[in-house]
Parts: sequence; C-alpha cells; structure tokens
Amino acid sequence: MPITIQMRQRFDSSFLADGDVAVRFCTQEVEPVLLRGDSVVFDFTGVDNMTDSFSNACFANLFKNHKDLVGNRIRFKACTPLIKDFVLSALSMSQNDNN
Amino acid sequence: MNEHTLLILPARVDAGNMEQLYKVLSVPDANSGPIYISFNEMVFYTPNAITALLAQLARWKDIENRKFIPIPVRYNPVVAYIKYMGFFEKLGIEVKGSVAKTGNERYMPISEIQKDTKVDKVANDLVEAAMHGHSSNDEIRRLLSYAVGELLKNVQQHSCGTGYIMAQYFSNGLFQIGIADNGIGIKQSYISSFSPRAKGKEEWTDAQWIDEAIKCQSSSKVHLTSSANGEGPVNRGVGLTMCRLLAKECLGHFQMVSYSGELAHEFKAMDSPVEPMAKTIKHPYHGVSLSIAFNPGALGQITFMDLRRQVLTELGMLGKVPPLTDNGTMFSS
Repeated sequence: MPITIQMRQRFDSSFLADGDVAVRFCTQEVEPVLLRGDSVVFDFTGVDNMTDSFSNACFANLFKNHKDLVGNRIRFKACTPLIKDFVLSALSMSQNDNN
Repeated sequence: MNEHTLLILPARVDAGNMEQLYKVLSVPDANSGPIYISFNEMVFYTPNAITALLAQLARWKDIENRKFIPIPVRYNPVVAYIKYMGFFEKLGIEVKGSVAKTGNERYMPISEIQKDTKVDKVANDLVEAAMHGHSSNDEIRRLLSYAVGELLKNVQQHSCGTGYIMAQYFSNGLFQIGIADNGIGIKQSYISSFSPRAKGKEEWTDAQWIDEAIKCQSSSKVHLTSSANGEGPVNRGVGLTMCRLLAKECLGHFQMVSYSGELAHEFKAMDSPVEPMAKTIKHPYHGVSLSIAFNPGALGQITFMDLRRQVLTELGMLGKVPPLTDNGTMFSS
C-alpha cells in the first residue's frame, strides 16, 4: 500500500533545510514503511527550496540502503525542477557510496 | 587574576580587518574580573564583525560568568543600530545614553543559534528581512536561504557553543551573511568527533584544518552514521563547500576564521585558478567566524538551480553515475 507523505505539511515549511530533522524523519518514519513492504511517495507540493544537508541526510541514505526500490517503492511527486535536482544529486551521492 | 578589563572596540571592522577586532577581544581573556566596554568608538561594523563580537561577549557572560559594565554612550548611530537589532538584549545588558532610533531605518535581526533553532524559519526570516526593499527575485532568495540554512546547520552540528547569524544588503550590491560562534572550532570538531581524518594529524594547525574543512565530503562528521539503520552518514560535508563555491560564482567573498586559522578570498571575474590557502593569524578568535557575500548582480538571469549545477560540475559531482536524469519512474507530476 503506498504511503504518501506531504512534505510541505510534514515539515511545516516550503524550505527543507535541517539535516538532523531529515535523518530522524527518514529513520523513524520512512524506513518502517519500507520495512513492512509498503511504498512511499514523497509529495513536494508547496516545497520550493532545499539544502544539500537535508537531501543527502534524507535521500542519499535512503537510496543507498534501498537502491532496488528507487522508482518502484520509492517515488517522488510534484517536484519543481530544483527539488528534482536535489533528489537526483542525492541519488548520485548514494551511487558514489556504493561504487 | 581578578582584575577588571577595559574593552575599547575598534572603529571600523569588516571582513578585511577582522583581526583588529580579534586583537581587542583577546584582552579580557587575560583577566577574570568585570569587563568595562566602550561602544562609543564604533563607526562601521559588517555582519560578521557584529556576530563575532556578540559571540565572544556571550562566551564571557554565559560560560565564564563575567560581568559587563557598559560605558554610557554618546549619540552613536551604530550603537543605536545594533541595539535595535537585539544585540544588547541578547547579552542581557542595558546601555545608558543616547541610543534613539534613527529615522525610518530598518533593523536586521540577529538570530541566536541553539541546538533547537528552526533552521528553515530563521533562514527564511533573515533573508526576507535582508532582501526587503532591495530585490524580490525568488532565485536570489533561494540562493541566500540555502546558504543561511547550510551555515546555520554547521553551527548546530559542529560548534558545541552558541552562534549568532545576521544578513544584510549593502549598497555596493553585496548580500552579506555574518555568522559566528564561541565553540570548539574546526580542529577540535574533528578531534572530538574521533574523525578518521584527524588520525596522525594532531600537529596540524587551525589553518590546515580550515583547508580540510572546505573540501567536499570532508566534514568532521562524515564517518558518523544514523543509529536506526546503521548505514549512511548523517552529514556528508557538502554544505560549506557548496556555499563557498556559490559565493565564488556570484563574485562575492568568503572569509572564515577558526581560532588561529583564517581563509579569506574575495572572488573576481578573472580570478587566479590557484585557490588561496588558509594562513595562521596572530590574534586567534575563540570559535568560528565566517563572512560570506554574494553579488546577485553578477548572476544575470541565471537560476539558483543552474548556479548549483555549475558548482556541482566544478566539484566533479555532476556527470557521475547517474546523470541528473531519472529512469522515468521516480518522478510524477
């Protein structure tokens, strides 16, 4: 069952900036969903900026630990081109870790 | 010694002569008694000068329980200005004398950085205040918020002290961010985090550790993993590197001091390809002080996304597997 996380509402901000908050979010909220076999959709409606600290802390580790799930059980919705770039550079970072 | 100290602040302090301020700030550390402070001489202080001064005064007050005795001020617009930025309130001291508000001037807020400070809110508020009346360009806002967010997070993750941050627009077109803390400094951050990078480098100077810290993926915390899944660093050491290179692309400046090390670079259009190294300064600063400026006018119509891509390219992080495209299934509208 896909779980959609509204990032704007979840972090109460259009700017996602705190890497420590991202780590907690990822480990406490996202990982359990994936571990029980469900899918996650990150919905970025209303989010227009991010830091590399946030995207790497949240997504690079997620991609690294679940590289086979990217694109099927880990998906992204309503990303602006900038947010999409942040997500993809986190993906790059995780693949660099794995190589 | 329990003798009092008289602290007379220098008149003009900007990124180019911060050591003059550090020299004056070294005086109270020789004593442990009350500190008499004269603010009367202040004429021009840039954001990093204000935050560096505030961080040190906070250290003496909060950590060393030193008592401040401000000398009554004559009318001085700089003192009035920093008063209405919240400078004295943050120290819990009252300055007596003529410190009335000047006209309709807008006062940039100084934000204190604690462990629980909300990074996104402070960044957005600071940038909004600094840009007010100067620019409504969303790309500049994103760039500045990004920089404030990354720098603020660095203080939270590394300093083990209290930090202060402010941003200001100057008439020469520069948006300048000043951020300073009174914490352990870069070298000690590597050592106390048991960073593998510190192994065998016990004799490295503060200047050498600054050069190390600005390298991409060289944070003192990159070896620390989140406990829940045990894999992947909580900090990948990208933010500071990105900020410096974004300032470079915008022909701004970057000046960072950590104890006796200093790296200063004013970026020019025809800059030498050889990057300057950090150097040792005579008068150390107790913590980390950073000034970073961006000249949005140098950007033209470029977006923050394209600017960030330029920096990623310079770092060799763009074009690695996979390129910045997805496999067609990751993203949906």
